[in-house]
Amino acid sequence: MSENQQKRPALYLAEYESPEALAKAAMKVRDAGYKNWDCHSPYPIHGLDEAMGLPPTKLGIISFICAMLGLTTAVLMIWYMNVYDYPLIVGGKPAAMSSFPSMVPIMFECTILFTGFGTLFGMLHLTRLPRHHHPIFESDRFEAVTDDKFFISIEVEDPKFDLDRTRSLLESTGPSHVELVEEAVA
Amino acid sequence: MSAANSNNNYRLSEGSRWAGLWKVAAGLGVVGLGITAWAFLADPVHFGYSYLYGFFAILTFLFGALFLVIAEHLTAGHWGVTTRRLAEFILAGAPVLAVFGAIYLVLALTGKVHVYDEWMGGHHDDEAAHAVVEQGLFGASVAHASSGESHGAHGDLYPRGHSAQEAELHHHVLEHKAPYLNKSRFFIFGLVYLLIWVGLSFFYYRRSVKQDEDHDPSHTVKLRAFAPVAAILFGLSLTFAAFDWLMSLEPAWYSTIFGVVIFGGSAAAIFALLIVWGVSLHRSGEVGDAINVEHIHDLGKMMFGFFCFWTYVSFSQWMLIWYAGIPEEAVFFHKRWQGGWQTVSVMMILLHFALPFLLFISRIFKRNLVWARIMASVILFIHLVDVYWYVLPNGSPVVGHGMLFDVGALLMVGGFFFALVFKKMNDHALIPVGDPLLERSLHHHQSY
Repeated sequence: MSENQQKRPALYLAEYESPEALAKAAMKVRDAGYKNWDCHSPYPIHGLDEAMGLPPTKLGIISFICAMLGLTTAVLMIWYMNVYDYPLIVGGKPAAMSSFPSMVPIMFECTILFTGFGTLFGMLHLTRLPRHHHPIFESDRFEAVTDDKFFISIEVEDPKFDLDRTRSLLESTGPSHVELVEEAVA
Repeated sequence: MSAANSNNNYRLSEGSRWAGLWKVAAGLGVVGLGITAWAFLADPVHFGYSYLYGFFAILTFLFGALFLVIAEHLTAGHWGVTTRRLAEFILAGAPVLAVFGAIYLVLALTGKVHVYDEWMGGHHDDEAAHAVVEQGLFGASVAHASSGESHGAHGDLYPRGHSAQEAELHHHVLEHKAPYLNKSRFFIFGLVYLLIWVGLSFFYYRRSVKQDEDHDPSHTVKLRAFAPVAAILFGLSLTFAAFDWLMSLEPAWYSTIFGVVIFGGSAAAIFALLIVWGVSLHRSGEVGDAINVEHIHDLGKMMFGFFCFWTYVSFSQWMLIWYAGIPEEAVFFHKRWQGGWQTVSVMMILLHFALPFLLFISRIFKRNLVWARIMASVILFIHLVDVYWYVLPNGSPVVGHGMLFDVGALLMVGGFFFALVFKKMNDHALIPVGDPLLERSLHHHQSY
């Protein structure tokens, strides 16, 4: 990145020394009403969900809908193939829905298949992944997030984001360092 | 957390209603003993089925508890440490089952239990004389009123055991199976199973309560080191006990997954029991916050997983037999699809799978303690019906016949068993206070 390239603020990054400090700070940011922000830590921290005020995930609903979709697809597919379009007697069982037991494995597999895909792609959608780059990686200090440091980031897209007020909020939470991360304007 | 347990040593508080619970159980046990004694005199043939039902139904709780405790030591997880003590109380009841099991083996050896007459010999011929049945393996059975005396009120119309004709058909198969299906092996193997279960139960229970006193982590190390061996011993003994005691009721029939089905039901039942018990303890304030919604949620997930597993193996067992349509395999399900057993079979599909699946799948359901206890009670009830469904169709071809005796035997074994289990609640802490993982378990928490 050349010196004269134009930059704009992307996010504030506050660094903490312990998970306790991170959780306490998260509660303050949550109570201040921010939406576009996140916590970063080297490992999962119990209770951070509540501290951040995260709502329950919607992934379960997506999975359930996909499961029902898979079950319906399997029933319709078997009905169309084995009962309606090309009735075929196998093992002396009637080519009708009364041979239901032999269809159960297919129904089960289709349900699982659709649920698996639904859960994977639902998760990717909810987490907005895959994403190739994020301005947070412009920060050199952020590399310690996979080692021994804890971070809170508040993004400029947040409606409450304000260069001065957001900085003073973060500084009031007792971080060991606060920086404004900038990204290059394309 | 609560006033009842302010000293935080996790012992039952003074005057707790849990302290006297064992007396209620013992009282029910005495009532059951009376009914079973009456059954022994009034209907000696049905008595065998009743006794087997009562014994095996309660035995499945010991299976479940052994599985849970061994699995927790195998995996070294912290989520279940606080609720593990409840399973260890169940292990403490093993001597009662050993006594009832030994009595059963002796009764079978001396010909007082007629459930295995087809392959044990015994008094089968006498029985056949009482009720002669023409039964094609697949046809409807036609019972002829016999001239001889009957064993019970329905003795003539609803013959128990097998007809002479059926035995004739099975004769070749049974001859082939004789090296396994014979009296002496049945008796010796039975004793070995009982020894394994009592040994494993005492090992895991005693070391854990000893750790309460000395807080020595070396107990945990030893219990974990032995867990793989214990798991193998447990798995083999459960499988073969299921073969010996339940599957051999229908000696010509076999299913290689039979033991796994029994295991799946037992595992679902122990998690259901721990949910009912744990929620009740939580409500009464005896364990403070040591058993809270996080632990119940995990038990709920395991219960959900295992009744689904039970469904999976049960359905697989049934579907393969349905698909092949071979008479000697289908006879097992044929018996369970007549004489009113259809209702019980359908009830199992609904209550052991469909209903709890839909009404317990959500996290919201599992974290609602009231709802979790209701669903766990449903699973406990249907588990008792499950064992009933395995044992009784051979004893009472019409469902409900001799049911008072069956319930009596269940009360007898269950009453004395849980009397000892609840008695132990007075002697030890309600959670393993010496376990090295206790602190993590107390702060157990589930993320989204």
